[in-house]
Amino acid sequence: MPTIKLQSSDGEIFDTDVQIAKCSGTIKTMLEDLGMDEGDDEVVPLPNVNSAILRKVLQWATFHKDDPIPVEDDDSKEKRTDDISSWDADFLKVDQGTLFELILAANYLDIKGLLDVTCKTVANMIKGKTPEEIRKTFNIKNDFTPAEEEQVRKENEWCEEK
Amino acid sequence: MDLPDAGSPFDKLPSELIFSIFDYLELKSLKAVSLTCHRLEQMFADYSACRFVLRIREERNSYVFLPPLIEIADKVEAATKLLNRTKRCYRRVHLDVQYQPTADSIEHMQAVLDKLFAVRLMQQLTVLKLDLPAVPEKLAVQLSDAVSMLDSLQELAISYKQRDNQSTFSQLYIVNRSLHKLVLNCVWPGRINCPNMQCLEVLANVDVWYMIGEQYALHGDAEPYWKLKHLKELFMATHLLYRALDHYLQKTETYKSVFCQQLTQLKKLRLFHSCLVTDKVLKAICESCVHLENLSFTSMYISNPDSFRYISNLTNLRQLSIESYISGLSFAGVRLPHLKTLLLGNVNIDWPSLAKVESIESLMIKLNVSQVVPACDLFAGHMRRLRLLWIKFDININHERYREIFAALSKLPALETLILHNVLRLDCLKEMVPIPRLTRLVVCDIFPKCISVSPADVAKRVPKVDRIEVPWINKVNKEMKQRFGCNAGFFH
Repeated sequence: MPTIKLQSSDGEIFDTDVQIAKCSGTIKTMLEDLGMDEGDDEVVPLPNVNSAILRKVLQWATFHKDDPIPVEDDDSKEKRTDDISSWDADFLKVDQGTLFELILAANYLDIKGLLDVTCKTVANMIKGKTPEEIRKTFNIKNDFTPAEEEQVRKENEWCEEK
Repeated sequence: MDLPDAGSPFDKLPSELIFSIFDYLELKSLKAVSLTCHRLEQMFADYSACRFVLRIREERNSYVFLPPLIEIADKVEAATKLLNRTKRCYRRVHLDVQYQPTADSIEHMQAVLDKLFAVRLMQQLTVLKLDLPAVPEKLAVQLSDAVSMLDSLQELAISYKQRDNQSTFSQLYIVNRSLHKLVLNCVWPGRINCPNMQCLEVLANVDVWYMIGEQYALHGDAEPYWKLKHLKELFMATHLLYRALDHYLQKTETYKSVFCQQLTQLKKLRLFHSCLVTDKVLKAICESCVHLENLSFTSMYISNPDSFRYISNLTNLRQLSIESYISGLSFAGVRLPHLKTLLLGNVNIDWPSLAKVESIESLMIKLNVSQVVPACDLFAGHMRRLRLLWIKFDININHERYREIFAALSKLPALETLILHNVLRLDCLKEMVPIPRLTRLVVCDIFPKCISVSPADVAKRVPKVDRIEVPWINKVNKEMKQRFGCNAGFFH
């Protein structure tokens, strides 16, 4: 099976099955448009992803390599978050730092499936919580004065679903 | 007690990725997020400009007494103040003035209209819905002025609920450049001139169709008081009851045809309630509105069975709905190469003729005893592209017939979603055999209705399906409305 070499920001080389690497739209474009051939011994540098995160991303891509291409739904209402598969749920039992790094990596590498499932996971950590609970969960510093907070609360009352 | 300040993981995410997370949250959670810190509040403000609206309307907490309109006037004023002060950008402001008219409501409505002229509100108001008070003629001029000056207005709905007397509002002019959609409920403006209006909905207790037709017939090529030739979508409904039906239809069909002949840009046409379609009118629609993609009739009143073939002229037609059809409906000789969706209510259809319409992907039918055999013949050998099927069963279809029906359905190679409505008994589902591509089974309104049924009860009786749902009919209706713009109420 043809492979290519991916290089993480901290210099580690990952020998990767081409099919799996192409789950990433970014890598796929590089290979196809920039004429990097599979036989070449060239290294694809990924300066925005460190080795720990790249290892996780490749683990995810290996498991999902045969998934159908996700379809774009144009529904403007909020999307479901209760459809995370049990494999993904286990895979994303990681610390918050890693979860957010995965979001950034999925976005940079253009892997829609991974971006969706990581964003869903963060959304689920927010759902049903009070502002104070959200601050606590994500270590957010409250920089509102009580008057400002009241102002936001008042303005929010005007905001409704379409 | 202070933790070392590691910052929040949100600090690292650019706004586009925070918006991707917001896409998965409902409004209540988003409002909680906005109250955590300045940065996320700003994110929510930017994000909500696209997804949510600022809506000004009365609280409908009490269903007996509606609050006096004066509260709305106060609210409009409060909203204007907010718009002058806020850092948020509201791209969508809705004003919803629906209330029970009282003796002094005219003055209150005038107060609301006065406040519409506040600069910020005028720039940002995109949706305006008004219930007119009693004796609304006095407001016509003021309302006409307001409408002409709302530069961002996209949707305007005006209704007049004193339906006992038809008001013509000859002083009311709807003139606006930005307007996309106009909804008139028992309101008949003297003039409509909105060059960007795509969609018009008219509900009335007079024969709307005839009255607009009359304007067009009397003015020849010059456009009359209502400029509608550029319309893309038209919905007409009337509460009229006819006596002497045949005579009336003959008398009015010429004017109705003249109007249809003007609508050459139309893509969507829905004729509801008493807007009956006769042979001559059908011909006019099919010869003139050649870009139609979506056509919906409540009633067809066709005397010559061959007249239905005119419909082949609508080569772009993708969706056709017919709630009732007076004589037998046959698709023999009809060619509609792009027809994807066919929704039929009380229609006595010639089933074998449907075999020729091969492009259908979604079908809604009402099945009675005499139709079981021909319908099964059709499913067993044709409809190769059918992906969604909604069957509403007649209660006279007995248990044995379900075996025949399910056997025929198993021959449909592309069927993914099956909606069974009014199934006689839960145990009838035991007759179901595997359908090759079926991934979703929806069962609603099982008889007798007092028994509550769970998806597990259905799962025990049918071959394995990924998703089984036993929703209230309202939920199915909502989905169908999103998908096709009509629902099971269509059958009644």
